[in-house]
Amino acid sequence: MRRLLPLAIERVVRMRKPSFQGALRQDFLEVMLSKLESGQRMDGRNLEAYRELKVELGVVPKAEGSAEVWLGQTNVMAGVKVGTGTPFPDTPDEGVLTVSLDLAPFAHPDYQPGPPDEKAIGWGRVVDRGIREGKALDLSSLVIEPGKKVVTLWLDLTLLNQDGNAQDAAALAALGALLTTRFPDEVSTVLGKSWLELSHYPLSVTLAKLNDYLMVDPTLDEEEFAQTELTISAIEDGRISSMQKVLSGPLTQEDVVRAVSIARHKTEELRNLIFEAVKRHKSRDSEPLGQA
Amino acid sequence: MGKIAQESLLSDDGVRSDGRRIDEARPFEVQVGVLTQANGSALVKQGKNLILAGVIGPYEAERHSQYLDRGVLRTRYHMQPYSTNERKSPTFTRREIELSRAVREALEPAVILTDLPRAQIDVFIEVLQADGGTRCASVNAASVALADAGVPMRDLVTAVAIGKVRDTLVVDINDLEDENGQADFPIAMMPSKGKITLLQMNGLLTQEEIQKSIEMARGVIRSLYEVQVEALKRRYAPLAASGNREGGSDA
Repeated sequence: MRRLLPLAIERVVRMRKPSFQGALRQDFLEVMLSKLESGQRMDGRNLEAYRELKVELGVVPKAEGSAEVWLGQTNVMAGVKVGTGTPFPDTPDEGVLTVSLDLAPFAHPDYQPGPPDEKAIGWGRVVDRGIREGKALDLSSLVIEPGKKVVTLWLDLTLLNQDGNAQDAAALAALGALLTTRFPDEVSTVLGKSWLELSHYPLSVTLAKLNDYLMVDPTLDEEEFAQTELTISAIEDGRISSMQKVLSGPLTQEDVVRAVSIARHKTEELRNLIFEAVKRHKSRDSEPLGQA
Repeated sequence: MGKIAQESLLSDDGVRSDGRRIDEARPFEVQVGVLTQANGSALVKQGKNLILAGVIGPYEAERHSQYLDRGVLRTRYHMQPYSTNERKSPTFTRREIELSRAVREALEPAVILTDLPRAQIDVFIEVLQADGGTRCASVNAASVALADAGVPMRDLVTAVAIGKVRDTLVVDINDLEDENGQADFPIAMMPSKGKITLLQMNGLLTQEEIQKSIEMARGVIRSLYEVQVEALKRRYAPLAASGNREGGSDA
């Protein structure tokens, strides 16, 4: 979508759905497919390349941990709030982690304000499962008084600008925020540590399938035409901690095997970028200036 | 009100808890066009407030909410769960409903809605970090985002909250002064028209104090307004100079 020159005299009333209608849609698809045939994407990437990743940590000092991630122009903010509370009755010796994802209504012209919809809940749950099943956090280490008082972690994700692959951007922001989460005094004095510690480092890789092409890190344009998408979360030893297929198109067994192998390499690349950002952040922020 | 002694909010020689003088506003920073899917957007840092406003529209309103002679402005003020000291539930609260309306009515006088018949403009405000005076910072962000979206306007809208600590009026109150002070008096104006578009007050003030508050607000608003205008110029002067009629959404 193109923006008008502000303060211009033109009084154009725009439609809410500007993209890809009728003939334009068909033309776009043809160009896209002809490029894919020669191993190229609309933005010049090859099929397995990610867009530029930018990570900023500690952007919301009032949150105990925070991260803002740009994957191309997809923008996700993550905040971790730490508190104390009662454990769930069925897990009396474990801390509580709650993950949720919210779509800012300005993230895309089609998004409406309101409680999280199917899409938002889907993305949030896949991030949640990547972290939980990947055993990123040792929840049993977050107990203050067994059965009575445990540490509660709220990981809230906000999609601020949607240009495709919100899923991986959310996983990246989540990991960045968790890795920079500093316990408040009431928790750190009891647990005897000042930072949240992670046992594993889950990240996800999403691939969109269009005909026989698997495109890593799809843009919104590519997602518009994708027949199906597969998200694979992996931890640092190469094990897969969650998978999710969305949309109604089919996948072959070969697709899945190939996607898993791509995901293992790509999560490692992305993880190193996050680790570097965390290192920079912690060295800059090693003094406890922690007034929020 | 008042969990903290008034003396700790203002020292004998007129220094506030964060080191400011009574007439000194917090650092104020505006970035324009930070989002690509919204038609207009602005990120405002006012003290530790971090506020993102995005405008969708003008677009053709649904039949049942159209007016034939003017456009409709909608606003939504929403706080992110991680924006406050205690986690805030992500569901919409009564406070957010009230502030959405206050912000809308602060902006409406500045928007030339009669030029946009049948249209709708949505202003979405997300508070990413809250630090006292969020509604004012939201107005400051939203009016720049509207300008960025190319919406016809009479003026920008600029806002600041005046407060009272230790029986003294202070400008641009922070969280601590908001919670523990004796008054909270948010004011928005169309700066070049000198008209007040938002006015609320909680606390106890005399008539003289009210008059003085408005004078103090006017001064601060003038300087915040310059920052807003500068931010818009920074974004658009290069485009105007190159004769490019499209605002680049690929920034």
